[in-house]
Amino acid sequence: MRIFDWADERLRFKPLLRAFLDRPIPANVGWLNTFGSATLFLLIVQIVTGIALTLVYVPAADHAYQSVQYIDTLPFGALVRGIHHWSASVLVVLIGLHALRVFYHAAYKYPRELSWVVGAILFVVVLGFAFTGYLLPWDLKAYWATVVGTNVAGAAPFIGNLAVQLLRGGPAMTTATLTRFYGLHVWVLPATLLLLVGLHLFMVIRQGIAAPPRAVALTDAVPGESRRERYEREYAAEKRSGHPFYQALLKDALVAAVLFLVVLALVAAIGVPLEAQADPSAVGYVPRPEWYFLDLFQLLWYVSGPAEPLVVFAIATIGFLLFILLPFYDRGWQRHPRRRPIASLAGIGVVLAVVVLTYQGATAPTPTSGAVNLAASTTLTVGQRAGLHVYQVEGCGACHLLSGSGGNAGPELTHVASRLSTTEIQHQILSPRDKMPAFTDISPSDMTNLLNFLSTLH
Amino acid sequence: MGPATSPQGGPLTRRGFVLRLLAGVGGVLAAALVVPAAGFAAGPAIAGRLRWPFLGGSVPPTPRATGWRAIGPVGDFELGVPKLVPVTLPVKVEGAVEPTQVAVYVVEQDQADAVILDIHCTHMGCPVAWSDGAKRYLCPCHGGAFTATGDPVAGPPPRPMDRYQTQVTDQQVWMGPLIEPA
Ligand code: HEC
Repeated sequence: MRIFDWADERLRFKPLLRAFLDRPIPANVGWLNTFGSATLFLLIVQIVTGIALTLVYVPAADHAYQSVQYIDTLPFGALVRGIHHWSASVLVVLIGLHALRVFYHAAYKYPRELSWVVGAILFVVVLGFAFTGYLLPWDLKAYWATVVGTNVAGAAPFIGNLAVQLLRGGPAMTTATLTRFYGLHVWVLPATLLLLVGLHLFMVIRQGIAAPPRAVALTDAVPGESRRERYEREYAAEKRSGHPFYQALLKDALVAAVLFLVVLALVAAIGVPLEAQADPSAVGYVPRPEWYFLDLFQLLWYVSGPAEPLVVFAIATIGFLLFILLPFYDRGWQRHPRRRPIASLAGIGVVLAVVVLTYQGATAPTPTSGAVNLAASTTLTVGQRAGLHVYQVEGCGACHLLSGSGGNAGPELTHVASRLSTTEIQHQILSPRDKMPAFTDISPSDMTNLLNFLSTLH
Repeated sequence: MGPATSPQGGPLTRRGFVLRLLAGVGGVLAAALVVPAAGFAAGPAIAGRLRWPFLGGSVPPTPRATGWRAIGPVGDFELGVPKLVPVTLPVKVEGAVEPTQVAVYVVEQDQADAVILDIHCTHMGCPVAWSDGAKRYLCPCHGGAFTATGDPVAGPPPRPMDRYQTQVTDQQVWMGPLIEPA
């Protein structure tokens, strides 16, 4: 403590510290408010483990994968990489929860609009970290998810081609792409992040933590007072009935500790994934993104047709603008969730859509896997079973959904027999109406079995 | 900038003048820094051919190479049946030439004609696999399907599979550079 006093005698930082730790915050600030500090904590975890990883990782295509494998053999290597990997996922969850809390409390309203804008950009920056980060191990998942991810940027009108090439460092996915993503991941994005986090925290400390909304305000409005005066009187009343900031830090610390344990548990239970090395010729590989991009990946199933790029671009742009500009179109003074039913319903709708799309993406059939899991398959006759085999070998499942597995290029066949007669089905297989290929070289016995099988699908 | 006045509308003070000067110098310095840095970052991306299509689309991620290489004798391929052929390309990237393995589908049309297709779905770039049963290339991502010669028949792909320049001479199939999508 002597050195502390010695330094303070010169620098006079104790008053600053006291002003920071003892400043009063509103009484109702509770557990939901810990999401923000938890996000900050996880960002610090990412920075520390990330810096450690750069000491060994080699950002070049001919070496990246081996260096990641090597990291896993070093003392604490798998642990550090595991924490970095899993805490990234937990971070995405927490920053989402933090945004939801702010939305739920309508804390983005006057006078904190700019905190929301900066926070929303930070959300996008965190997704940028996730996107650039998972190319770095240069394994199959990394490579193919980035092929798809960069091609999504190609949907933009006029500048789509430019955007893809800017991301990849040329038209192709090469070591240039890897080096670029590395530069973005460890320099450009962190610099942006630190700047924005600094700005975000400055605003939070300067303006104070938003009081959770009350159905009935603490103070009465005074006729003729300005919006600023009204706000300051109410916030002063909140602070008078509140408690010092350091007390809230206890909750924050507890949540941070629990989250760290969750991350460690994930590392211990699941380990750190690493697929086979990236291979530009990996025919047969089924690309799937990390879970937090599954909703977007799934969305691509639902938009199709010649205008698809435009629709994708419009959805992305409008979604981004609606998110970031929220405080500027939702400007009513009501903050209690029940007093702003439209906003509350819209919020619930967005959360539901994300959850459902993510779930569908996670359980989506892979069109080329011929597998069919029939619940009632035990009741099939030998001939019908042979028909199921023909169905699988001929690759019908690539385009048709059957009992929950298969593609969606053609109509679902789970109940096809209740729609079409056997002759109609045979006609469709031999001379299809439109886009389905004709299967003219199925042998007569195979065809009989196939039709027998399909006729059980009521 | 208008007449020289301070923000309060009075005459420009010494303070106001210095601050404006600082802002100006700062702006010029910032631009002098950002222009070369941003130009450098964009360099490799815009060095090649750029398109400005109204309807955007995917770009095949295959490493590009120039020149021609022999893929195999005509007898290696069955008429109309695609064959997946691994090819090692000398890819020039970041100042060095790296041998890079890619794969292409080779489809013989007749004794004197063949088509060489890039393996990437034209929707989002996933690798398509030839299905002998369906006689289609099928995409594992969003269900796209193409005929043996790469015409889209089902699902979201907006254009035929991308092709390589191809020649058949002296019973040899030759593969040239990728034909960039229009
Ligand atoms: C490349 C994709 C694709 C493959 C592979 C495919 N189909 Fe189809 N199928 C379609 C499409 C698209 C339709 C819609 C009608 C059309 O375009 O001909 C369809 C329609 C059908 C129908 C009519 C369904 C209805 O409700 O109208 C049946 C039955 C059918 N397919 C059976 C099969 C069988 C059996 C196989 C395997 C031998 C198969 N399909 C393989 C794409 C495919």
